[in-house]
Amino acid sequence: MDRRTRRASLRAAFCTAACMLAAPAMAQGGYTDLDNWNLTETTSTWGGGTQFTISAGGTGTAEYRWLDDPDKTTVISANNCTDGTLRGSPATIPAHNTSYHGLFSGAAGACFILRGRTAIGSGSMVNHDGRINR
Amino acid sequence: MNRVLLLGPVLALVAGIATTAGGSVADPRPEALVRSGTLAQTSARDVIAHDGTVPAALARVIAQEIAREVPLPSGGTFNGIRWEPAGGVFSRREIAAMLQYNAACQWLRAWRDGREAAVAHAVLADVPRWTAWRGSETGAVLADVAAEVAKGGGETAVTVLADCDASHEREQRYAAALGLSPSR
Repeated sequence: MDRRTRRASLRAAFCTAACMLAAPAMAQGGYTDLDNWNLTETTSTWGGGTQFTISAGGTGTAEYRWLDDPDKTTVISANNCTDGTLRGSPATIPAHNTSYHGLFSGAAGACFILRGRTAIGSGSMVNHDGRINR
Repeated sequence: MNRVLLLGPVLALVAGIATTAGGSVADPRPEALVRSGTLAQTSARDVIAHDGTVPAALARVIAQEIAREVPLPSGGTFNGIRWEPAGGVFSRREIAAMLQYNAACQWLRAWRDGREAAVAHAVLADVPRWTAWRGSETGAVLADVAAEVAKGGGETAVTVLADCDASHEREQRYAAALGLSPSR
């Protein structure tokens, strides 16, 4: 490696490090698996109120999917951490559907909790795993 | 039958409140800083231990009790939180988390608006260690906010403040509709 190439490599390495340091520290995000979410026909919150935030490096959206085949139709929503209002629209996920469903779009750092229930008249659904991507 | 079933968790929650609502020795610091410091130092497990759920219609009652532990700027209230329309059930832990986030928003607005500036600075520095989100991604975002506040502001603080302002507008409308005093 000649001197010019070495200098270019050092500059690239420095730039990469500097860019990483400059990246917003709120870039948590990605996805989180929700193990054994037990739902009934009454709306309840995942994880006793576990809060999530829209990541800085993501798409600016929160989306949810079931990982294992849900045997009931479920309704999942994202609600505001400040006052409990709905963010976006609740997703009605048909039984046996494991695709992602959009919940809302928000700015990086937007805080939300996940609430869910089974369809009225369908009974409870226990020990099903889901995933929140934000 | 349903009332009997409902009474158990409510009594358990109230019992949990009774055990945490202790008196305090005189402290020279402002009341808000004492409460904030207590939240920052309390084991998060203390909050989780009182888990259980109540119907949304009762969440406001439980919230009023838990609110005694959460510092607010002068003129602050939790009256605008939409427990009732949210429906379903809430656990004591969820109620505490929502109160704490709402309070963090109120302190952030107070700092931005120049109210109780010194106390707001100190409380916002404690906020990332409050029990509801200590060590979580929300705590990380609020730590960024606290760091920016210490330096006079920043992008994350602006973003979170925008969310807080939008919530504040909703809260004012809802509290007024209930005939309650809205937060400042």
